[in-house]
Amino acid sequence: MSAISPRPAVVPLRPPVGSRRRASLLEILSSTDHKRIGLVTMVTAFCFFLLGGSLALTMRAELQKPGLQFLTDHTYNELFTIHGSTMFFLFAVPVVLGVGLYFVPLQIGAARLLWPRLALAGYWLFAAGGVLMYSGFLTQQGAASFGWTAYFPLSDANASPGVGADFWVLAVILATTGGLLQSVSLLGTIARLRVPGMTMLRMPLFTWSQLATVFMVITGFPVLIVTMALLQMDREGVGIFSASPEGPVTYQHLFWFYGHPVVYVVFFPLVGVVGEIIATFSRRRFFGFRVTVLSLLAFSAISMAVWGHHMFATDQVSNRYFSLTSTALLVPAGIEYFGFLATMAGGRIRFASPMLFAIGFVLLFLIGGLTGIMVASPPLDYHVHDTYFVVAHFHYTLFGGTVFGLFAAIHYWFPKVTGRLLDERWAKATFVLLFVGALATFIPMFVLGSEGMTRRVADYLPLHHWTTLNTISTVGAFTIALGVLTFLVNLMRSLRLGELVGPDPWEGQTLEWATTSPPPRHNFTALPPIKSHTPLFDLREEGREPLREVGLEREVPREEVPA
Amino acid sequence: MSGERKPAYPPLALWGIFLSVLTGVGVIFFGTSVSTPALLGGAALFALVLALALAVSRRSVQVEGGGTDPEGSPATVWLALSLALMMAGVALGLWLVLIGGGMALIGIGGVIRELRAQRAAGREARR
Repeated sequence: MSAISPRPAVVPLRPPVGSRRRASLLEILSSTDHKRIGLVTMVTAFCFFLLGGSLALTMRAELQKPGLQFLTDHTYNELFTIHGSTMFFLFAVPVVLGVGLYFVPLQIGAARLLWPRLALAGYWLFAAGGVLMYSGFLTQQGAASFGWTAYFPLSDANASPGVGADFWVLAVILATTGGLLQSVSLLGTIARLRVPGMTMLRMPLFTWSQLATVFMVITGFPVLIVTMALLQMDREGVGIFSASPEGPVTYQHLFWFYGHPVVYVVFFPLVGVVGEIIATFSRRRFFGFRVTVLSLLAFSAISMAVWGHHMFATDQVSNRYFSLTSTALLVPAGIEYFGFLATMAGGRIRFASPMLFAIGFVLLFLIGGLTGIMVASPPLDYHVHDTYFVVAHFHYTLFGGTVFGLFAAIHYWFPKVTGRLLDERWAKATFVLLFVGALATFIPMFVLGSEGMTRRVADYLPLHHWTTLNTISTVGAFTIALGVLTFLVNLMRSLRLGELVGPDPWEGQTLEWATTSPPPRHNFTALPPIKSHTPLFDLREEGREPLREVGLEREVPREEVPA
Repeated sequence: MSGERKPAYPPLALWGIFLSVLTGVGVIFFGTSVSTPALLGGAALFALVLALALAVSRRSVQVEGGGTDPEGSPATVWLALSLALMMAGVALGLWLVLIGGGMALIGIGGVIRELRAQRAAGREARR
């Protein structure tokens, strides 16, 4: 590491401390370093993604043709319950928070997290929750089988007896509490540890999207934690939701007050990542930054007021209000999409793998968004409620949004975390397989749903003529699995053999690119002046070399790929 | 470097105002329903109160370096796992809740010990 830069424009900070010796597993798992907490959270969440994905493949194999092939109805119920629960509670939420824990302090020039013990405890609560949830499969009556929403009274002790169901409820409390603790740490870090000069409007887009996410988490997650505690009490015999006829609808209100914003929690940070990738690979600043920040705040606020659209069919909510708010989401979403497109329109685009995944996100998420507007209309929702149309819609938001956004983030920031590039050919193969797989898997579900195929059913009759569409969907799911496999091969290969790169292989615009790859324990030896949300881009515009400004020019390997 | 760290409460306050407006608009539609305005209004109030708390709490925080954070906190891990055991005990029996509770006490002691050591290291560093 080079010495602290003496240049007056640069704020000198404490040099990195600690040796470069390889840390033990125990040290990594109990570290208070935000990078380690973020990384282990992401890795653990990705392992749960693989588990949840394998459950999905099993279900798709079962559904490929009519008749029960190798699953019973009950086992199928367990699989879709744990698949959905895994993807929300154990993969999507933790992984986006993990990305935030790693990169938010770097982007705001902080040396650490505020309250790192909260983030560390949050990781362990989430991991323990995951183990507890999967332990349900080892119990006599099996894992929970009431769907990831655990609708009451389906989830009460009469309809769903057994320890596995209890484990599910308690696991959700643990995992959600973990996410809440990590979010509080992130909020404190953004509020208190920004480097001087980093005003709120100079924070990068990703940090803003993470901040909006944290607002939703701290408002919505406590409601779920309390709801699950009440559900468990009800299961133990204390009459809560079973005490009155309104109990089931009250449960739905409470669940969806968390359940809808969480959909935004799991893609919002990735909107920020995609925005930054598009700007970096278009070689210009993000178009309409301030309006986009405002739209992120409006988007997240409106997302707190749309939960009732999941309950249109109950006739117990104001359909007009929730239809209005759900449709209003179009406005901030449109602003963000306009920002994506306008940034690309004026730029000189490089189609490297992060950019491809970012474009994949934009395209696939668009399908999810537009069909979301369709189901925001009560008459249409009545028609497709609880059908595969809804399954297809939310998979385009979650797979197109979260998974493509995450893969974009991984391909973008892998060099920062490891100092090596992922192999481009393998990355492009992953992109093609995932993109084609996503279309093949979920497009047929729109047709199946509108023809009346209901979700959460292990079988269908041959006379419905749904076999071809289901076969296409199953082939698509296995194509996705192949795409994930190519990613894992690329990951393993590149960790050892990937091309060595310096601190800033992409000509990044934000502060995380102004430190070594991987960053030292306390992140920075020096920081450039911060005049906007793109401090490194500003320096380049002034004809200055950002890495030289922070004394890192010697860190650039000779063989580095020109950006 | 020019400029200072500006307060962080405005975005949260703005967010709370957005939620208040959404609640206000809802009054036209909600009728006698209680759940919807209670949840939405509660969220708005929570956001505004938190923004207020952020605005009045101006505690200065060390900016440079890593402060005196320890490299690791095994006591935190121990405490979190103890809480998870207690939670599992809700389904498996009181015996596990008690074991988890005992472990949690040890974990709290460990965290307190770490915090004391951290404070002492901070004093040492300032000297």
